Amino acid sequence: MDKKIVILLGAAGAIALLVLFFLSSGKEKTKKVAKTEETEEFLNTKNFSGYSDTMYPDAPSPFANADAEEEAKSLWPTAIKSVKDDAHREKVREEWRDFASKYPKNIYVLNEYRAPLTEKEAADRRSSLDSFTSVDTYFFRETAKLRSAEIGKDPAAAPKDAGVTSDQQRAYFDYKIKEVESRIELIQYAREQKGLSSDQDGIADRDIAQWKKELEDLQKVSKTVPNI
Amino acid sequence: MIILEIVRNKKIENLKKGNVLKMFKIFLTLFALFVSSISAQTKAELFARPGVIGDSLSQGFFGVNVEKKSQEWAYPVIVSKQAGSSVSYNILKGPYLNFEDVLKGDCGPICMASSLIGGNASTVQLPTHAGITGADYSNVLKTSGKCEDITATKQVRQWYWATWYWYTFRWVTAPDCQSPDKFHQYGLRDSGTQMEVMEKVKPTFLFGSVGANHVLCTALATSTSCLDEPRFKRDIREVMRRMSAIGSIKGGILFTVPNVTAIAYLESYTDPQGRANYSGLKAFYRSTVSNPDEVLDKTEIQTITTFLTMLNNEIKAQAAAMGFALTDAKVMFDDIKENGRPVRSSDGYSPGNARANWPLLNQPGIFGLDGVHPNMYGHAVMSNELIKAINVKYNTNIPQVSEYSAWYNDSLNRNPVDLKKFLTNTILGQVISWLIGIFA
Repeated sequence: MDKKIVILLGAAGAIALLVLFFLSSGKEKTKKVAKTEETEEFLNTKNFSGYSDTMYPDAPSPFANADAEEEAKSLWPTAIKSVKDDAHREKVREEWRDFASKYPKNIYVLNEYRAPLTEKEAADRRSSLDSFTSVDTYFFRETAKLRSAEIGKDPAAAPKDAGVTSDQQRAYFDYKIKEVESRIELIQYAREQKGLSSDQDGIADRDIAQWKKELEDLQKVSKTVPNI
Repeated sequence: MIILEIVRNKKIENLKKGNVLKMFKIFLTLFALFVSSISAQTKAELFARPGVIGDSLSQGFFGVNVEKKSQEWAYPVIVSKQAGSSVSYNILKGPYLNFEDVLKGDCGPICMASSLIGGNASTVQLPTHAGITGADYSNVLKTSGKCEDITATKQVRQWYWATWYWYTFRWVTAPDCQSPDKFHQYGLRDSGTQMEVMEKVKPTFLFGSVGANHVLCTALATSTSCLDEPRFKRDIREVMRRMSAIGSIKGGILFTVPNVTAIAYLESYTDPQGRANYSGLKAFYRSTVSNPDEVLDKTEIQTITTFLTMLNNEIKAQAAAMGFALTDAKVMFDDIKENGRPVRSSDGYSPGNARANWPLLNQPGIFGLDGVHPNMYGHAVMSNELIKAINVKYNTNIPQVSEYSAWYNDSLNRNPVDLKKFLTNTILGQVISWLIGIFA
């Protein structure tokens, strides 16, 4: 009886071994994390022992464990590499100062590169943001409805009720016009500084042509807003 | 003598028993190896060629941009890597801008300009990951990298010789190909629609969730007018029918859509004058409400909840019909909203539970600065929930990602930006305009 069990177990083991051999040959080599094809050196993370920012100073580095470090670099290679240092930030500040001096009214310039706002100016900005986003959302909502309209069927005529006041609409157009102008200025500045890649030059040409047309339309229609 | 004989027999018996035990242990070990090998085999077969259809979540949209960094941390890329496989995709460098980098002073006007017009950092012949920002199941079927709607047609004149002396025309139906948005242009290029890409890729495993934008529009537009149940049902069913017809898919995963009225983009608002239709949920950046359209009131929230239940039931039914794994992301998100998500290192350190918000001072969070999309840490959380569901469904052993490591290496969590301190910056109106334009 005992002998039989031994033989049976032995046979089962041998079969399992055989199956195991056939299944694993030529199949995946299991690894916790597939290595990325990145061969680039992790410049910023060479000897990376912790995040550079000062918040959570007690947070232990997960990289104390070599596997964890390998996993992180495999999963998030660019995010880890893109941690910026002070020298980079100073260069960016210098760019902003230069850009803001050339285009002081550009809407993309952050407050820190402008004269400090008074309380009233800050309140006006909040109010403008409310007004612009309200009208903008209204138009996105309405155009979304029109986009799903039946093919071949004409859209309804403009409703008698405008849905927005003329002041709101004027402020909306003002912001839109400033924004498109600012966008064009940004691209032109980047071009002057040779900051666009060659493939982006063609895209920039097409975009600027389209934005100029959009700007023309906005300027034209904004003049038709009644003074009521 | 007899006693000696008995002792000898006992020893032999014990020896035999010992052998049996040993053999049994060997058998158990072999059996365990056998089972894990089958599991590895299943994983290898499943993930031989993963394919992805999807939206901003799968493409790695991150307030308000798609770029290499954020594409790498998107859930299909992470889950595939953890499964020992990979997906290929066109790498974008915009459009729009990484608002975190701008506000932190990491991206100046030149970087901003480059990101604003966007383009491809690198491309592949045929992506296996075709998820595109702003897409829903209708876009999966209709929007390619070249045409907003490949089924759209128009009437054009076709000139021909009617007789040897008479040149005339007849009206014929021709494709009406309007340029799609830049996310589709750069993400799909000339590969076709997301559906057509999958039909060419013939994936073995499908990341098939594209449901969120059928309902997210309500939160961003604070309106229920974009809800369209027949279109959603028709198109998800058609997508799954065509996926089944491919014949190569051995498994996949779908997830339900979280409660979009609970995202960080929206916050409670009570009208000072007590008007019901002026109270409810407003966009976080709005300081006042001057119009009922600027809030989701109680009735609208109920309409969205009902729609969401219908949508998630359909997703669950499709997952079951396709034999796919299912992650109930709605339940997961509700739990994070209620209890937070513990962030803890292997040696017990915790910065606190992550909240369903963008990170704030000493408070980890799962969202990016738009209050709609997850940050790098949030994607790791999402990936782990997907991995758990895949492991249960297919008996695989895909390892989870270290959420602590994701938090530790997430720049927004480690160095938070409180967006509410930037509301007087003139750039913000346009950032919100892009966001609403993509998702509303």
